[in-house]
Amino acid sequence: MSDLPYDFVIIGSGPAGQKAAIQASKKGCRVALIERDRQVGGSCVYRGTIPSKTLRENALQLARASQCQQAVTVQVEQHAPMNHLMSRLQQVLDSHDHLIADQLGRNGITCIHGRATFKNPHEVEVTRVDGTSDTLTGKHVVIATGSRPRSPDDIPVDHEYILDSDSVLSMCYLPESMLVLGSGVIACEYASIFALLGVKVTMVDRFASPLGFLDPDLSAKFQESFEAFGGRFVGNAKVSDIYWDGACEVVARMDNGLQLSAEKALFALGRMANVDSLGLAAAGLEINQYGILDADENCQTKVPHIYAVGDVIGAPALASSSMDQGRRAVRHALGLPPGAPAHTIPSGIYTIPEIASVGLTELQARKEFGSVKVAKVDFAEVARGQIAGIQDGLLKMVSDPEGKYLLGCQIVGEGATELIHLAQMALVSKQPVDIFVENIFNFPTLAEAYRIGALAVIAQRSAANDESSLAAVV
Amino acid sequence: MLEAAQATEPPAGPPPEFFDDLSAAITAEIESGELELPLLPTSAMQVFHLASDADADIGKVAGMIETDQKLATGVLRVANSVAYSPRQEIVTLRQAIMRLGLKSLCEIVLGAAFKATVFSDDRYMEPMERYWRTGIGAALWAKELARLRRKNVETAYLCGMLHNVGQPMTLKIISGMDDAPAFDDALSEVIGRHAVQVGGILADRWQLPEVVKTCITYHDNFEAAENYRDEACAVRAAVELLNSSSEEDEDPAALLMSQACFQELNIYPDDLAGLLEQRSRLALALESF
Repeated sequence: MSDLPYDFVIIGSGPAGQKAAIQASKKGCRVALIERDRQVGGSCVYRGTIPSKTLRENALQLARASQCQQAVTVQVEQHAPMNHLMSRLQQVLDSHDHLIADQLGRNGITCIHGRATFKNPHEVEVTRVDGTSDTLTGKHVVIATGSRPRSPDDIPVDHEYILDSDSVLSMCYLPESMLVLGSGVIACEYASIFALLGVKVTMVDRFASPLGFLDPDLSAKFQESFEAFGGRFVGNAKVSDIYWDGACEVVARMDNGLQLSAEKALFALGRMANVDSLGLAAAGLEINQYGILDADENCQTKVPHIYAVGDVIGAPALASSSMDQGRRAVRHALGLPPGAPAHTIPSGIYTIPEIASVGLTELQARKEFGSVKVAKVDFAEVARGQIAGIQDGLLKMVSDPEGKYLLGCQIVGEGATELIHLAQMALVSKQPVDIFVENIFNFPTLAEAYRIGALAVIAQRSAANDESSLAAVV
Repeated sequence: MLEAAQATEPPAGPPPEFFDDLSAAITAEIESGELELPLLPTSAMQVFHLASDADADIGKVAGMIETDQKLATGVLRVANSVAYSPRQEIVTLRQAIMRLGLKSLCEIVLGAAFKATVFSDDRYMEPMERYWRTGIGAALWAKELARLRRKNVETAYLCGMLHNVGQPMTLKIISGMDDAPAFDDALSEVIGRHAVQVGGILADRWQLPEVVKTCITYHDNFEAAENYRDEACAVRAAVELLNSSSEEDEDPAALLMSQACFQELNIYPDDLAGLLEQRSRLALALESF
């Protein structure tokens, strides 16, 4: 390892760290990327994102096959081995690992396997697995160490009966029933996947509805689908006590007196930043009351040459936003314009059905602009939705008060995470809503929903114009 | 003096050719496809079914265990061991079930069933006991490793407990032969030649999960495992931790850290130090089995 200082020392090789490293390297900087795990890519990706999406994909395939039940009979066996439901996982992981490693290598980034600890604001000590260590000096340091499932003292996560989102996928067999504590992104993703696989899932949270940060109609649409394939949501209930009964069930007592039980429980109430071994104090940093690092809109911490990106700075903690933060931090450090504004970064939730969002929600738009024009399109109105059996979808377009420009778009339904990019492009290029009407999409496709939505917005705009013309005449 | 020394020398073991013939005989038996392998005792299976029944009646479970005297004795012995620290002696199965909980009981029943079925042989009691302790010890360490790594401990336990099941099974095959020799290094080496294959056959016969079969087959060679390499590697590390405990080395960390399995599992020195703090607790738990 060279003693020369690096332009950037980046701690963590998940989506945020990778993009930061590549951005810095593309600008001719000398970059060191430190990863505590053996594989680059971030443990969150290896333990959560890829395995859960693999399970999700297989669950969907089984569900699709069962739609043709006149021709074939498909049923997931009770206590089916989990590995049978996650086929191809290892190949996907290996290929992801190679892809990332190649990409980093191609860009001349020095990857170092070890655990990073600040010695002072510019020096980072890297301790390898064998206990040996080196010190790196960085002009800039980017903290991208990610997060891990939160494990509060009062929830006895034992990874045997009460699992977290890391250990849930290493279950040997599919359980008969499962309690999911929490109703955020991770909780809803797993709850919907296991429910579709035939597990009796009960999701419990102190909020009134799942995915409470979404507009209520989208949250309701998700809940409707979740319950349609056997899930149950219990809102306004906080777990006061949870334990393994020593025999065959996990028992959860709620503060409202309700008692629930299941073969396994998944605790998915939040994540905590991976900062324990960083020695933040030596860098002049500390975590805030929420256990995360404070950073401004450019991801700069209070120590100007140190940036924090991804899950360590909290919400939205999605791979897409983390990538943007990594890129943005490096551009800011180098005095370059940050590029596309953060609000045009889409977010995707891999529940069943998928949910995606870009720009402002209806609630946010109303708060900022007062009256806005909203169009909702049910996928049942779209030919492709009927053909593909995707009738539980909804596309919602939110435009400015004049009905001219798109402010945001939310979609629930299979294909949502792909479909949202059309709205993203319209937002980024500041196109009028009319673009969805003036251009022809393939038929039949779900993108047709945009056209229907845009027509509805235009109709509201015309009606409003007619009214104002009428008012002017009167 | 010379005569006295000769008098205390153990009788010479069979010549090397004997062990080659023995090995060939084992191979022939395996290849015949008619290898006699034990079934899990019915009583153990029944207890499992009962224990996974939410409405299981404790009296019924106790009654079921009582039908198997070996099982009942094993359960009472473990229930009274230091690991479960009973405040007063447990004399009835009903007391044991109440004290341990059905799930712990299940683990004990499973252990006792394996011990009675696989890890016992009148001719080779001492090596069988050693194999058994290695299995249970690895299971206990595998559990701790799984907890540290946020992996499922249930699977880890099973993988650890059965990783060396091929050794007692091979010894049982030898025991059934007319000219079964005394247990020594040469015999141990013959067992080593066949244990993985025999363990794999048993895993198939008992329809054990693929992950368990992989750990049986690849725990000594985890780099070669196509799937479940991580689990096989974890079992290897568990065995190393177990061995380090029995060697009474005050600070085995350096030696352990030099093992490829710990590097593979990404166990940093402070993680290992945390694990090693569990040594005396796990040694105590092992004593109870």
